[in-house]
Amino acid sequence: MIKGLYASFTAMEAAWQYQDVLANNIANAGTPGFKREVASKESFRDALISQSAPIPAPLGARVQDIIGQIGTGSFIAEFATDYGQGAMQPTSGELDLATTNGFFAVQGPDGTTFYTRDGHFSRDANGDLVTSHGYYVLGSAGEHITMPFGATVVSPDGDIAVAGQPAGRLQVVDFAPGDLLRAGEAYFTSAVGGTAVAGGVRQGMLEMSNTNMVEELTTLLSVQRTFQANQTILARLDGTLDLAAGQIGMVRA
Amino acid sequence: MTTIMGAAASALSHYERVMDVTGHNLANVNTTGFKRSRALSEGVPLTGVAAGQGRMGVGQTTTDLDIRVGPALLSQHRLSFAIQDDAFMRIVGFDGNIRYTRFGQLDIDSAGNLTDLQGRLLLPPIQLPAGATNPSVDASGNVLAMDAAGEPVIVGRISLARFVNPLGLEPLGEGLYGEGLNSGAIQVGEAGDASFAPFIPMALEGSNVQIAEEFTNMILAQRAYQASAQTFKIGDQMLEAATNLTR
Repeated sequence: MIKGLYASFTAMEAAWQYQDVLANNIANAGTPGFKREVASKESFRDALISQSAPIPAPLGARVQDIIGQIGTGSFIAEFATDYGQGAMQPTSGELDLATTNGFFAVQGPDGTTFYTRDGHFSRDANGDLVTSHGYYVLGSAGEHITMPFGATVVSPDGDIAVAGQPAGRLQVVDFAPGDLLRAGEAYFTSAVGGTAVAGGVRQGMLEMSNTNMVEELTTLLSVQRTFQANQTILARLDGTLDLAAGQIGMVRA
Repeated sequence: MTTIMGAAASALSHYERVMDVTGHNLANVNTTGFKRSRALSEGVPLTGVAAGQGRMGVGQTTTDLDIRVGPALLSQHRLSFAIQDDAFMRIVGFDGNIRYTRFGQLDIDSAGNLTDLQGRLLLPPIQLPAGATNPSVDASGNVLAMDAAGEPVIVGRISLARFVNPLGLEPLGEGLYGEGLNSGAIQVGEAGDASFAPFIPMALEGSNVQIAEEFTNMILAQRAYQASAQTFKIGDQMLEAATNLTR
C-alpha cells in the first residue's frame, strides 16, 4: 500500500521535472544558439522484499526469506544536452556569425570563458567585438578583437578583415562530449580547453535554437497525462487507505 | 515549482515584444530613410548555478537596429540625395544637440540656410550667397547654385559622420538619431572621399523593411506565442491536479 504511494509520487515528481525542461525548450525556440535538453527517465533499482522467518524457528536459522521484487517508481536519471545543429537563418547582419563546428569563445566581466553557438555579435563603443551582453569575443590567442571603421568580412576559418585589413581571428574550439557544462540557455563552460577547429564559420547567419517544437509539445502532452494518471492512482490509494483506516473494525451502533 | 509557468511567461512577453517591433517595421514600410529594428531572444550566461537549475526561459530580449541600406527611390527634388553606406548627415537639433539622420532631403530657410524639412540647420552650416538660385546637390555632397551672374558656384559641402557601432545609436523618432552610450567614436568626412560612398543625387533612400521578412517573423512569433500559451496552460492544469491531491 505505502510502496504504491511512493511509486506514484516519484512518477509525479519525475513528470514535473520533465515539464520544466520541456517548457524551457519551448520558451527558447527562438533563441540563437540554444541547445535543447532531453531527459532520460529511469526506474529506481528494484528492491528485494523479504519476510522474516517464523518466530518459533531455531535461533541460528533466523534468516530472511526473499519472496520477490518490487518496483519503487521512476525518476529522471539525467538531463542531457542535445548538441544537434540548429537551423541556419540568413540575417544579412554583417556581424551575425554562425559556426557549424565548435563554439565561439567569449569572456565574461569576471574573466570566465564561456563557449557559445550564439554568434549575434556587435562592436562596442571602443570597437571591440562583443556579444549582446557586452561579453568580449575572444581571438585565437585569447585576446579581444578590436575592429576599426569599415566593412567586415569573416572567412570560414574565422579570420576577420575590416576594410581589407586583417583584424584578428576568432577562437573557435570544439570539445569532447561531456566536457561542456551548461551555463545558461545558450552558453557553456568547460574545465578543459578545447581544440581549435576551422572551416565552419558563416557570416550573415545565425544558428537558431535546435528545439523541435512538434516533439516538445507532443512530449509535453504525454507527460501531462502521465502526471494526471499518477495523481488519480494516488487519489485511489488514498481512498483505499481511508477505507482501511476508517471503515474496517468500525463499530456501528 | 513554477518553472514551467515562469519559462512560458518569459516567452510570452518576448514574443509580444517581437510583435511590437514587427508592427513598427511594417507601419514604416514606406517611410523614407527608415531603418528596421530586430528583436532577438538571448540566453543569459550564468555561473555558479547547480546543474538542473537556472532554466528561466527567455533570458532577455535585445532590440537592435538593422542598418542595411534601403533602395534608392527617384525624387524630383534637386536638393535630395540617397546615402549609400552606413554614414549619417549631421544636423543641429532644436535643442542645440547634434542629431544624425539618413533622410536626405534639404530645404532652404528665409535666410538662405540649408536645413532639413523641419528647418534644422546642417552641421557645419551652409548658406547660399545673396542672389544665388537653383541650388542642387551632386554625388560628392557639393551644394551647387547659380550666382547672381548666372555662373555655377560651389557654396558648400555636406558633412557626414559614421560610428564605430551604429547599432548603439539612440533612435529619437522623425528619422533622427542621437549618440548613445555605445555608439562609440565618430569618423567625419564627405561623400565620395576616402571610405565614404558617393551619394545618388535626386533620389531618396527608401525604407529597408522587407514585407516578406516581416510577415515570416510575425507568423513565427504568433505560433511560438501560441505554443508558449499552451505550455502555460498545461503548467496550470498540472498545478491544479497537484493541489487536488487532498480533498
